Amino acid sequence: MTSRMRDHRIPALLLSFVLSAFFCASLGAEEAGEKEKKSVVQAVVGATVLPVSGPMVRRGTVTWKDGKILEVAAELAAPEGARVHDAKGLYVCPGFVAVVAMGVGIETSSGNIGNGLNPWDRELTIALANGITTMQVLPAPFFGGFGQDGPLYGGTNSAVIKLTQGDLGGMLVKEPAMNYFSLPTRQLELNYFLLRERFKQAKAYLAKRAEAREKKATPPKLSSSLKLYVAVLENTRPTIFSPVNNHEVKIVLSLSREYGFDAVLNEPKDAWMMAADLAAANVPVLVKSRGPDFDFNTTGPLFEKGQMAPVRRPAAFSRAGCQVSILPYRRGISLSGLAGRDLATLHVDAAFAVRGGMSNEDALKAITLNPARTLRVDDRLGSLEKGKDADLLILSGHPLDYRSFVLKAFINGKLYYDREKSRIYREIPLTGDK
Amino acid sequence: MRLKMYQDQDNRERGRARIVRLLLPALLAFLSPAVAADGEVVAYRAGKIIRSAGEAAAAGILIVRDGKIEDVLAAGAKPPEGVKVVELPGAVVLPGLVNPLSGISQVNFTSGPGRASQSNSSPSDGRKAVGLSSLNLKHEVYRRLGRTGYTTFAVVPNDTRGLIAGQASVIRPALGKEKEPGELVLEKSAYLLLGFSSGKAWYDAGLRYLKKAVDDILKEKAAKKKAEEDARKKAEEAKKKASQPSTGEKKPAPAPPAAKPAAAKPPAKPKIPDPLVQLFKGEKKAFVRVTSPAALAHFFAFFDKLPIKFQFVLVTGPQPPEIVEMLIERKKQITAVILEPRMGRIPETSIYVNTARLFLRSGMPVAFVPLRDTIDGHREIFFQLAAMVKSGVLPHEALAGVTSVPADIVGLDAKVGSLKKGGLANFACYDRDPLSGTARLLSVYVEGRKVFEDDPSTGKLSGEAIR
Repeated sequence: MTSRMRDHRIPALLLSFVLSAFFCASLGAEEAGEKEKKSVVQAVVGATVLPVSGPMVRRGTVTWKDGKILEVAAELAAPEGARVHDAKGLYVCPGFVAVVAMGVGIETSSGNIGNGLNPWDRELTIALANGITTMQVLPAPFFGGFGQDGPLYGGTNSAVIKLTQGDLGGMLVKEPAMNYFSLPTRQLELNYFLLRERFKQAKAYLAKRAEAREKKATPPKLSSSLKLYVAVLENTRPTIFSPVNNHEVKIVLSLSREYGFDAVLNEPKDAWMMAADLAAANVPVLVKSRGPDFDFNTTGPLFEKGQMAPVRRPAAFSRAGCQVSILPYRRGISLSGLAGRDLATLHVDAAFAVRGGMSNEDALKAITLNPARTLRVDDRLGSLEKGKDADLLILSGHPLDYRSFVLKAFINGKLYYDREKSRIYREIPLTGDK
Repeated sequence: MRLKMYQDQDNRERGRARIVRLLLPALLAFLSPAVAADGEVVAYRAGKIIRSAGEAAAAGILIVRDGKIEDVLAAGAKPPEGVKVVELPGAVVLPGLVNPLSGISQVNFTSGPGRASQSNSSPSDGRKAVGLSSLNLKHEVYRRLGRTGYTTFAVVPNDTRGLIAGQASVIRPALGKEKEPGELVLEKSAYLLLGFSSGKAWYDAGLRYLKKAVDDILKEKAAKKKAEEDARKKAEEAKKKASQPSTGEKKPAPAPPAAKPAAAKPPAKPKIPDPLVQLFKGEKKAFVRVTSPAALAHFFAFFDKLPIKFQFVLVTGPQPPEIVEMLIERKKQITAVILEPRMGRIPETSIYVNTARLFLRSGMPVAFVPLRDTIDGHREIFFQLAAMVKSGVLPHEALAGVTSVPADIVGLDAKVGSLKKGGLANFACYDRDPLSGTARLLSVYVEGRKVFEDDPSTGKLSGEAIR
């Protein structure tokens, strides 16, 4: 710094203040201008619309504005000035919701997921190209590569994200999404007894805390071992359990009934036998429709263990009136989507459930509205209804047909995937009955 | 016996040879015409001089006095009387190259952090670290710097992976006679290097450091405003008092102005200015290194929320076109881009993209840093730049990317980066167009002193190595 500058330091500082303030102001104004985009009504016209919440609409029109759906109706002309997507002979349905996904759309997951999202993740691109517009994402496991099968561990972070490719702003829907609760690894009565004791302690803690809050005193200290139990009882988000047998399913049901929290069962093994109980208790289940359920400890014939072919399980739960969400065989995108048994083929997993006896409507529900309900985002997502987010797909055929491809995917009313421009999928020729 | 005698004789001869070998460089150094005495004026007559990137090469004469360029004359002009003339026949003279971000001053410089695509690993705070502090003159590397064609290096401190990585010092190559590292330094603190990655730890650190600095500035501003208002109110009250009651009391009126400077002085003096605060006030230049696309998205998500923003030079790796578009939209914030001269790739394809070209076409200045932050890496810069030119960067842009642009972004464009009156006499001589791929570095001058010479007839470099 020259002596000349030193002499005039204070005015120079002032000047820099003024300049920086001016600079900020101008930047702010510009950003506001950018955000202020013209809200244009968009419409898909002439499609077979599957709104999920209601019956199929032939030659239907879906209109939306500012990211929210305005109307779903048959034979409706697009309003004046609307941007029209002609979908004659095509299908329209809500974007699929993957109820559990791993390592997709995340660059790093140190601490929380929201700050580690990667809108340019290639696995995200593949998932979106296969119709998934929303997912509950967990960090990829330390080993095991791409969202391998395995237990869902307690205390895991999870977030509901939308797959707005290249757009970080609209990605995070909510975090954390669920409580992950690990049941005792050793199935001993003592452990279940201790489990109940913990719930009692947690309830007592909550009572004390409420008391303290009434008196406006400092709340009592919460021991770290009770944190998860308290979170479960608070019930601000559903809690996911992975029971290994029906005994554990019963314990979860009774706890949920006793303490009034929302439980979700992840792949309850033989729980199809008590599907009616689950339906009565309004406990949703996450099930797979295919996959070899290897059990190397098998000693007797399969029927003695009460097993049912995976392909029939979703239908069994659904028939009993359970809220079923279908899980893909793997929770990630394996081998860039080539393996065909992962998130990239979620709709094919739903089709397998149809093969096992589920209805088309229920199978589609099991990858849209049901997972949205399970994740408590059904006020915004999961079906095509007035006022919900305009997350929808234009498909070349019925969403459960293995030959169908997603042609366009809209999230919050904005086009995020266009097959014509996709570097991966545009090369595959469309086949079908057209 | 006889054999042994011969051996003794051999040894003796070898000893003599060693003495001669030791003395020779000293003799040469003594006789060398290039080492100009203080105040001496030297004229360099060259076949082609590129005064700055973008200008046409023309024959001319460089007049150098005291390590500075006194004048650049046309080829036909006569050098002043009594001036020593050094002929550089057939040489293409370039301004000495400038590296705006290097970790070469460090002991482990071969794997050091001076790369554009280096990822940031820990959100630490190194705002007090200065590049100068990691200089160790005993290391040979400082003398070798001059052999690369580069004559100016902005060196960053040892650990540059933090959120606040530290301040860069601008140095020149050593001539071998320096006692203090400070003698190499052109600018002790040229800019503050920041880094950002995605993840909670980085957001937290960002709040801890950047947001806090902003809040401090805003508080200071508010306090100042309040103090001013108080002073004004006092003055008004004093005026009222002075005008209303009686003209007899005059002493209280001059008292407040005496109190005012006393109150203002203590905050002005006590501490050295915080470089981060200076950065937000626009008094210090900022370089921001963000590598991955996701990290870029997160950085801007964080940065946009700050109430005070600053302009910065972006340091990044090759990016796909959509990311470049996103960055070009922020042209007002990003004053320049530092890249490595290598190609990016469109994801899912084998299509290569020249990131630098995309930035340059949008009018953003681009500076290039060598692919490897080593002596060899610096020597190879024109090979890499030639590849960039092949894929769409214009030759003068490539040249500007290693001369005038980096000089400009480190704030030393008056001294280095081009050959102009009053600038330092830093120049490199090549035997042909340096971007041709077959060009050979003939000699390098730092502040009018020759630091490197390559003898094309023997293929030997000055010094010891053979290419």
